[in-house]
Amino acid sequence: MPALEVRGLSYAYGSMKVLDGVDFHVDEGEIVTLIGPNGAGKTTLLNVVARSLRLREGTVLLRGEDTGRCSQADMVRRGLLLVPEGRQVFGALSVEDNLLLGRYVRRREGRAGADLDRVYRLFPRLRERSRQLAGTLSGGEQQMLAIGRAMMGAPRVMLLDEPSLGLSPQMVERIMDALSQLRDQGVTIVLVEQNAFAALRLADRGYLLQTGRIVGSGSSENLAHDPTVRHVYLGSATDEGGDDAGSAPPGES
Amino acid sequence: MNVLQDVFTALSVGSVYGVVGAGYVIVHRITGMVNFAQGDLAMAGAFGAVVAASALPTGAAMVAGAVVGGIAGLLLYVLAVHPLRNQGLLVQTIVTLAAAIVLRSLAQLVFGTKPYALDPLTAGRPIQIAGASLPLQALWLVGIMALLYVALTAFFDRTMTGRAMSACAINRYAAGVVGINVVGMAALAFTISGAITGLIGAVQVPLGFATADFGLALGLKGFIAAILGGFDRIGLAMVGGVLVGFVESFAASTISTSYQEVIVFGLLLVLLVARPGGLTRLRVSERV
Amino acid sequence: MSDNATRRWPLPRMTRTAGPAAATVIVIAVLPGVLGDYYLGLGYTIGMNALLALGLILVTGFAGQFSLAQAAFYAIGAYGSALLTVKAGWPAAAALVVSALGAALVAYALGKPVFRLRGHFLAMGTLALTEIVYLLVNNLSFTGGSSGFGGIMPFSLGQVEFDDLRSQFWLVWSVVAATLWASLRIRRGREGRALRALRSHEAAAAACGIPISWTKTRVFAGSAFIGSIAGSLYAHQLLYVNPPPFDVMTSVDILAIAVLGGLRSPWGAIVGAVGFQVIRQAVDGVLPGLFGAGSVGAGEELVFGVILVLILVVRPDGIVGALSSLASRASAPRGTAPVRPAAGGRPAPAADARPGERVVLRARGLSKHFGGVRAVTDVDLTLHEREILAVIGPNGAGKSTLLNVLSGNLPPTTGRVELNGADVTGARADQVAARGLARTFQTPSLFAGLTVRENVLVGGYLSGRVGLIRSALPTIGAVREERRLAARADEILAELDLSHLAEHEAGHLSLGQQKMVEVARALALNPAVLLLDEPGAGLNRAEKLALAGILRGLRARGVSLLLIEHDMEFVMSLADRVHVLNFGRTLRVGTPAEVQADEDVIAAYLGTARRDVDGDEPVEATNARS
Repeated sequence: MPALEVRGLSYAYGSMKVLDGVDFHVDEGEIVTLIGPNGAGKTTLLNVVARSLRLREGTVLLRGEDTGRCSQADMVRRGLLLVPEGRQVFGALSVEDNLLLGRYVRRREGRAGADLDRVYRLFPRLRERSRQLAGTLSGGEQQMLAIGRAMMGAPRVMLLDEPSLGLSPQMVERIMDALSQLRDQGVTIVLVEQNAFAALRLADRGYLLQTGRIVGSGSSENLAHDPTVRHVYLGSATDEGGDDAGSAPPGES
Repeated sequence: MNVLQDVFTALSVGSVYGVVGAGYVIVHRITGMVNFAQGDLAMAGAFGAVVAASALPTGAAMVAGAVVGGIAGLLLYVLAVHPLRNQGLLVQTIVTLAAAIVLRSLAQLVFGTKPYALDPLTAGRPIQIAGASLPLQALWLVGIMALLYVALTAFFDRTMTGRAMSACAINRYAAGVVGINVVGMAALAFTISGAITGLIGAVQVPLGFATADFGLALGLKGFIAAILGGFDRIGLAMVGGVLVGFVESFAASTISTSYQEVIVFGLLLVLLVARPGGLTRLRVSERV
Repeated sequence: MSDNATRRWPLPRMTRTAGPAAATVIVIAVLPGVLGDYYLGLGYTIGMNALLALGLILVTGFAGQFSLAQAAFYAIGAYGSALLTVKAGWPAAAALVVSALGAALVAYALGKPVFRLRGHFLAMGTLALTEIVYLLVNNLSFTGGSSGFGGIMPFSLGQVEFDDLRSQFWLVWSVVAATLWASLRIRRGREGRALRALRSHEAAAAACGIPISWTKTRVFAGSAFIGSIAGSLYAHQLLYVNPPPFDVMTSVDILAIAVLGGLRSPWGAIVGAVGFQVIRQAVDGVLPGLFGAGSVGAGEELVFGVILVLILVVRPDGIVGALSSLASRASAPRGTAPVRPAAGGRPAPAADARPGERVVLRARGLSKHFGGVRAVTDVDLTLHEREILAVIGPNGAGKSTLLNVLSGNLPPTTGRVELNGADVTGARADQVAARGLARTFQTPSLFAGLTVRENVLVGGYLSGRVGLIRSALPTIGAVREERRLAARADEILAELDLSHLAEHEAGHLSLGQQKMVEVARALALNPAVLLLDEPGAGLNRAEKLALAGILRGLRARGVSLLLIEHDMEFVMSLADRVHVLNFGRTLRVGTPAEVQADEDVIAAYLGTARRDVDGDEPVEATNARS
């Protein structure tokens, strides 16, 4: 049974349809990446799954259970944690307070010490800065904090939205390392990335998203060599009339 | 003219304005709203205490005032503000004004227009210093404001719920992401804000009486305190309240009691024009 | 209004102007003859309240600003007229006008600074103003303190005296009718469109060249003017002034009237004033029996407070809103607008289609930082005449921020922007627009509640000059200008093949249509430079092809285009040059082919470990989207 399964998910902002019947699944312990250019709908997709945005059309199953009536907090309680685009740490609070807020839904479950330790072992840099205000951290450290905050919620499935955004290649490597360690600890990971090559190096499988639809999928190996990926990202000046997979979205909008 | 007497008056009325100002700040930080019923929540607390005093000792009656204020704040949020969450701030703000009118006229229907009094918390003569007299109840007001400052600061900085509320204030989206019930926190903000405002409204009754219509002027003066606090800092709003108290009592003793309120409200206009960011260095953000 | 002026408009517009005229004639001419004194008195009160509410609807309904100052302006009019006629011996009409100008001046002085701040500051500021005026008239000796003063003569105009209830009824309702008519004209004139536009989407309104706080300030002054006239009439009717009618509860009552009737339409004032009086009569009849004679005042307030809450929760646009949505369900075209096959725009004369040498837009060393976050750092950018320049880059590269800085919607942190050789660094969006720059937005930002034609007319704001007063009066110049603006709007709509949508409400269109109308609105500015933020996002292929055709047509007509776009195929086939941003900095500038083959660009988009980029800086994506 997949850890997370999404069926027929659509979403529109007013008259602007950004997701159109998306299906994908992630098995327990897998790292699956959703890649695609800007505007493909990746961020919206994660936010609907996590219920930052309302689920209007489609089904989201967690370990086979329907989550149609779940609020955002319910999803967090069921172990589905979002690491949002742009980190979204609480800048005016200390690093440790940020982490403690990560276990807000589990605030009555025992002590926070062990959870904190787990995060600090993965990201020793955060332990050094635990008293510092989150807003003063560098972009990479903020990304660590955002992941650490999600770890505090005891995730079974973690959704990461562009963790490499605006980071140097070395920092991207470190974040990807951390994700692979998380997987080894049993966390199922959905990684949304524009940085396709970095994501495909880490992931087991991937889906290619374009203008709200899945236009390709397969093992990371296959996707990395698929010319469609490059085409979807960079287009081509010459073939204006070309009708390659997915470059012509459906007529109704 | 007795300067010391003015200082005493300023401190005691200023504490009331300061706490009301802090009430504005709590609601504004978490919801971005200005609650036009803030002053009337103090009035609700005052009458809550007056009614409770017929059955309870004064101290407990004043706590009852806090409870009444808190419940009124919660009801305001649940019945009027929350249903309008999709209508925008203009409509939400108008509805708080409507709620203020409801509270005020309800009080007038039940209690009439005459002033009500309460016994002070501590019996005894005012302290006399250099010809100025300081009622013991004034010390209570200042003490309660200080206590509320300590308690609210500890609440927002040390407890999980307080941290969650601060988180909503800092980044509502991220608060949702970690599983905080943002609507619940807004309701809590209205409740806490109503409770502290109701409490201070009750405690000031032995000095200032309770009348059905005292909420309006009190609300405006508390608003000035909140502006002075940059609409963001509880502590600075309390300092701002005391400053308003000073302006008021010195205006009364040096110019005229008839014009003290004109001068205080004029201060509001001057602040809006000249220094909307209050005592902080932060500019009030303009919308792009 | 002359036949010429109305002929252009479709039928509903004629009935909209004929309606008030007929209603007014009936009310003014017939009612005073048939009503007894009791109902005449009621009618007078209703008229007075309607007048005050009309003033409030101007500022709260049109401009979306919450004001509680109506009682203050009412007091300024009443006391102004009373003092000037009784103590200075002025003629009543002169006193009325001077008082109203005084009230407008007070509104101007308060509004100008406060409108730069967030909305609730105006609400509290106006509440304080009302309290101050009330306390002043209560305490000043020359206003007679709390007992007020009398000796005021009935209003007179030349030889005509309005000294009985019948003539006063006639007077106040004439003023109401004139104000209603003027408000209705303002609402659909240049100024009213600007107000409704800024209420709907402030940034887009500014990008159309509307000076936001100045426009709000003028309408606030207008509302003060009306409130003061009501006060003057009141003083001349009662022949006596004292403070109680001018306390803050009057402002609240007026607000209740406007909300009850509906804030969006001037008709709301009339309907609300009637409804208010009906409810008041009912309450006054019932309450004393329930709570005793002393309960009337508080009981009325309670009832109106509750009604205000209920109306806001159930039907925020009031009775008129409810009625008009019923009416429009019955008649007007609703649902999705007709879809037509997209046309490819005008074919371009090929000779002109190449970029020129002259630089029309230049940025030097442009940076924009949000706190510690550097969204844009040290960007140099040039746009030549007749050029299509595409700005591309991965998420969070700072594209939208760059565009917002160029258009004046955000001030730059450092650097310089020149538009047609003039320095526009730090200028407001409306000032930049006035210098020939138009823009569209990433998310659809048409003015909801306005028709497609009205949206395009707002785009033509800068080519008109009829202000608040001339909007209200059908002067020849105003009528002619409105006709010219409408002709221009229709021309643009025809050019973009949107004429069939002209009367549709902008919010009901499909996304593709909305994006096209936004381009039309931008074109109405007659821009030399057009900035487009993701014009193709969400469009289907046919729509994108049509859009590309239109943009090429614009270029051929001499417009320079700068666009942000994600669809690389679209960009590559359209752009003359491509400017690539990454981490808020310029990564590469070149022809589409050069950029497409560039290793660094590929790396920025698809990612690779080979790039040696700047250190680990706190660069965030969220702020790049505004």
